[in-house]
Amino acid sequence: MNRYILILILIGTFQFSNAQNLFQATSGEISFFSETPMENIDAINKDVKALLNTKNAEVAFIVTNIGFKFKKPLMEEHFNENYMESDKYKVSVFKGKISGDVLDFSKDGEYKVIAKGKLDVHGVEKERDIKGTLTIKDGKINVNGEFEIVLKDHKIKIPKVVVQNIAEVVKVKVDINFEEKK
Amino acid sequence: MIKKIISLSLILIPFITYSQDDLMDMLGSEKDSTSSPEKVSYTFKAIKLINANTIETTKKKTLDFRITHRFGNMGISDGTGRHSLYGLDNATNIRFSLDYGLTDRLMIGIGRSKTQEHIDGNLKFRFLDQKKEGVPISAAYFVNVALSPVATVADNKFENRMSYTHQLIIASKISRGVSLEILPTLVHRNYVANIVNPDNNEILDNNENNLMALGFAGRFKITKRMSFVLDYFLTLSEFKADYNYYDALGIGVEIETGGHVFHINLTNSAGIIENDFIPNTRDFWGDDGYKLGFNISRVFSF
Repeated sequence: MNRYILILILIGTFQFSNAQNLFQATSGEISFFSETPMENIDAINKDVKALLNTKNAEVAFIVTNIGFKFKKPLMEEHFNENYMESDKYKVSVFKGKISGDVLDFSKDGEYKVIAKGKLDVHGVEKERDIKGTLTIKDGKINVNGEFEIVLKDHKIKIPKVVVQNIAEVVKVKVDINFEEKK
Repeated sequence: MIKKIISLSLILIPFITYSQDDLMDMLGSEKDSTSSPEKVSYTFKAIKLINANTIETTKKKTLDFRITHRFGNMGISDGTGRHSLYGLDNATNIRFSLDYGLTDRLMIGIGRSKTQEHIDGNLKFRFLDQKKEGVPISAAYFVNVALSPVATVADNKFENRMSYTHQLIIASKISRGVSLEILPTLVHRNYVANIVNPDNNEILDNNENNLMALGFAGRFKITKRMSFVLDYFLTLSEFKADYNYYDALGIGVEIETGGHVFHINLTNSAGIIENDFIPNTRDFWGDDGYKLGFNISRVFSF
């Protein structure tokens, strides 16, 4: 009898610790910025879903491409229709593993980290090392990073007539707040 | 021994299920459970095709400046084209217009045409959006008022200068490359000329103040930025059939270049607004009655 109780406790503990390891994005935004002498284009997306597993430091996020909001509706239309082809490639995805010299998920602090993984934009997957900052405070985690996307790498073609208006390399900013998944 | 195996496997179950929980799978399932059916956007590139209105409205705080031009009849089979550079020497009709988005669904516009010197004010309200699942169509209501400030008007009455259009726009983006529309349309003209006997002014045939028409329009993408477009208005009128009026048919190519949407087209109609091309199209495609035209749209955001 005692043995069964022990087993039950063990199972319970594992499931409990399992839940504790998983953090879910409660809010976040992914934005990008294209800068040329002719025109600056920027867009923000708050439709971000992300999970972070503190046990194995795996992180994944999905952003709905149609959720990028631009200042000008025409830019948004061109982004969805001509460049991102949002009806075909609905989401952009990153999945990777976070590492840092002194990264310790059990301690509050600000850590310089690198997320190594795969970035899938416009249906093209690229191996990327993305530098960022991971901040842990009161059981909440914030992940902040900045990286560049070379449009050519992801088979996003810019026609000659607008080549002066759209940068070949687009800056992307990620800012996501995680809380423990319940 | 058996007990031990059972207890060991029980302990292991959480591990096994846990290792199967890929983060991506979890994100994927979460996404499915929360998202409502997606809206179908960008059914057309501009607010007009050739003659037909599209389901699209200019978005909030966006101004669409359009120049619509119809050259003269090309005159290819009768040989007149050689003397008019295939109609390019003539400007049958030109319309300048401004359309502005009050909201993402409500658009107001003004325009001025060469034919009948029409000045028109219009409004388009999109009230239904197509969804990936459940709602197969988008719908909008279009209404306009046109004033013809020509030098002389029948009975010298102001109201005889006015005409109106009511139109329901029903559109469906069938696929990435194919968008279709049906446009039930009513044109009301306050004044129409009856057919009279010139000798005794006896009315031989009554013209119709109200004209019903059914429009059909389509866009077929050739590449990402280029499409084949066409529209046709079937006018339901006995009077017109008897006195050599024709249905307006336009075919064209739509090209998008950055901020511009450009159409090159061929139509048999001289009129550009509904109040004109539905009742007043007197050229017939089969009788050399088609003319080159273009529509240019330039969009400004504020």
